[in-house]
Amino acid sequence: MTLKKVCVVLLLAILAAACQGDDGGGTQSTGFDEDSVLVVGTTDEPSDLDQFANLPVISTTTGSVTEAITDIDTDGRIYGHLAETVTQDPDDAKRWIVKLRGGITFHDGTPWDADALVANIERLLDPATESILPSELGTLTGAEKIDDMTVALVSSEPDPILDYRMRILNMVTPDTPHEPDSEPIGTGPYIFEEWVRGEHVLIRANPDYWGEPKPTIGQIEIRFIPDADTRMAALAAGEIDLNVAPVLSRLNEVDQILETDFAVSTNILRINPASPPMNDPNFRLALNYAINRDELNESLFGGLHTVNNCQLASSGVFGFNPDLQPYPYDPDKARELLAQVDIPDDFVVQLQTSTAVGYAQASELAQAVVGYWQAVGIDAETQLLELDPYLKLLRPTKEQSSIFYVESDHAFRNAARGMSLYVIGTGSTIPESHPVRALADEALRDRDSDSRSESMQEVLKTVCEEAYIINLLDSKQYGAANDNLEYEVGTNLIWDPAYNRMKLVE
Amino acid sequence: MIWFLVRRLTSATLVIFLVTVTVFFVGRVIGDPVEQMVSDFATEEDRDALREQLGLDRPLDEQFFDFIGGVSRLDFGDSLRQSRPASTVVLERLPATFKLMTTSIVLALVVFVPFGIVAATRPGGALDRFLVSVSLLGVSMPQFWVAQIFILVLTVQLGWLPTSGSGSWQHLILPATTLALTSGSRIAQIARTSVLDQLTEPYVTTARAKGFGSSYVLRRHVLRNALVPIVTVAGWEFAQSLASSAVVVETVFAWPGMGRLAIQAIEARDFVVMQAVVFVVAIIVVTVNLMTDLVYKLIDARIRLA
Repeated sequence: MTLKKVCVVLLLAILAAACQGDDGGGTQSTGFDEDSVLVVGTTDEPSDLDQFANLPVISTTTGSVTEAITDIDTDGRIYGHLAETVTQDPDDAKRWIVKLRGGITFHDGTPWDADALVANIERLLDPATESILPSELGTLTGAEKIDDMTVALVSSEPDPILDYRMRILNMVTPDTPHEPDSEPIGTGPYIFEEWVRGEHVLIRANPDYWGEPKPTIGQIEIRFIPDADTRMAALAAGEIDLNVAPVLSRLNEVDQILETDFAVSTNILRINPASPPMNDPNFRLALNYAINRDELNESLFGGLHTVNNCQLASSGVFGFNPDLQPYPYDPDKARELLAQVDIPDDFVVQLQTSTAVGYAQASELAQAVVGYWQAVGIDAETQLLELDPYLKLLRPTKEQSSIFYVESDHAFRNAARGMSLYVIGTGSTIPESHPVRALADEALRDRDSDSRSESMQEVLKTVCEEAYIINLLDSKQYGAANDNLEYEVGTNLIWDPAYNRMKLVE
Repeated sequence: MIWFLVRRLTSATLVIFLVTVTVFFVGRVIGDPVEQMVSDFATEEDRDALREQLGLDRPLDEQFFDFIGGVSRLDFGDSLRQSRPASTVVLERLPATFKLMTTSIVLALVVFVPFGIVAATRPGGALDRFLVSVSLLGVSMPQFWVAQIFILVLTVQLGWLPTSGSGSWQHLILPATTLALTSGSRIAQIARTSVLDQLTEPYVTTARAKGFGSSYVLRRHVLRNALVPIVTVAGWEFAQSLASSAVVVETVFAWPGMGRLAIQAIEARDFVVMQAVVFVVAIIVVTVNLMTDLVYKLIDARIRLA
């Protein structure tokens, strides 16, 4: 009997061990359920999946397949991602020294090392690649290998924010061919699987991902649904789990609203002070005091946006000045200032914006703002332009009308971008002789991050006080999801989601 | 017949050529694709360099003659956005559009021609008035609206069908039905009118006087004579849907066809792809017109093709 009992116990033990084996989803060994699928609805598909082109739509499809050497924290500070450190060369302001993180390989087994980074930079700068990114990367001219895990990034001029710029450059395996259909092979938590043109991109979890957190969802299907209402319907029907471009006025219909932790853009009105009365600060200030920004936000955007704090940055963006406040709505003050201005008899304030797809709310905003100006006695009108003439006017000319609507982009998460464009760059209307230009130039060249932040805050304060730019509303990015998705957006943009931070729940 | 075909093919070639040339010039007038391809920081030199890369800095006449030479070899050049041959880009999408168009026109004919015939055999009655009202509604309702109603009711509320995409026959139902509703309603109206006209002809009276039943007269005599206008409208509806309605329906239902591709190309100012799309659509339209004329001959041998 004793032997029989022993045999029974042994048999039960063997059976118990066998039952704890493969649970059918590979979950124990990989950490994710291979059969789980997250379906994401996005706007139309990219032209190609080359990581050096066509940024926004690329990020939704393959942002988790490839990675950059730097990333950003919630305070807007840069830290190393594929790099351990990225620091300016103390002896040469035109060089940044990148020490790469070891132990990482691309999905095709190629090691991530100095040769790989140099190859990526060379491919980026090669005219045959036809990339639009070089102009976003300042004056970067090349990369030099120092040792197997160290590279020097070289610019033609000192560029203190090159580490920020490198965030947008996702690394691919050096063997990526120069072909339109080349598949993105990166180091990310997801591996590219297939692209069915006109329908979807499929990526699958990388069981050997080096970073954290590890992916928990086996596959991500990114579906191209160009019509916004159809995307909302697909979400409501459960055909997609996440909509990265929802209809903002219908967010109250969805289970879960996702939003970025900072405002990714600001509507601004760029004033051309070339001729009277725009060259009179009192007139420009009057334009500011005449606008009821809170009412604009409530009536046009259902309160989704926030009033901008009179600067080319939003809270959470490096260089943001916390002491600046928006101009209050004060029509009496506006009239008082206007009484001090010599306005030519036939002068009409023309506010230019576009009627193109994607600018529908811009034209409504412009018409509302013109209404406020008319209410305080300013002769004003809107000029609605087709997209192409509008895009040309992003670079101001002498012939340009008095005020021009733009959206200042903070996706960079650094006020340097807005300053580079609208204070000293191709989009600026601030007079060449104005000291704020020299101040901005100096700030953007400052190698010390703390003193650079202080200088940038000073620049933003001056631009606010001089009122060359009328700042209106800050906009976050919003996404819509069903209840089965758990996702903390963190520092990511909605259309650049971190799929490895997502979980599907019952 | 041979001379007819020769004449038609010659005029078809001329039509396709003129349409394609028109799109060549219109595409270059509606906007500068480079402005949408560069970043905010791009300088004028960057723009010029990109124009040179894409060949857009060449004189217009040089671009035109290159284009004509290419079209004769069915080479439209590379897509400005996708860097792939535009003909490849378009031909990838053609099967999906063809499937959608064929399904919708078959649906329109199978459902709505009997509609019109039934209405014609009971003129002025309740059924006739109902069917006429339905066809009027079908013609009047905007297709994008019909599409959204279908999606809201049949997919979101009832969960019967998918909202968008392709891949199965279920995905085809809603977009094909949306297209068929409009074109079929017009076909029903024409069918009703055509059959009504024939029913008043003396030969019908004679046949009935000889003792033939209404159903027999309808099937053996009236329908054949009434078919010519129906075929004309069916051919026109097919071409019109391809050239315009498909654009809306494919966008709403995310159907991966040429209509959606045309919208993408226009928004991106990719006039190379636009030219290729228009060329293919023009070929299909003239082919459908030719086939319609040939079908006339099959229906009624008395018709002389001129």
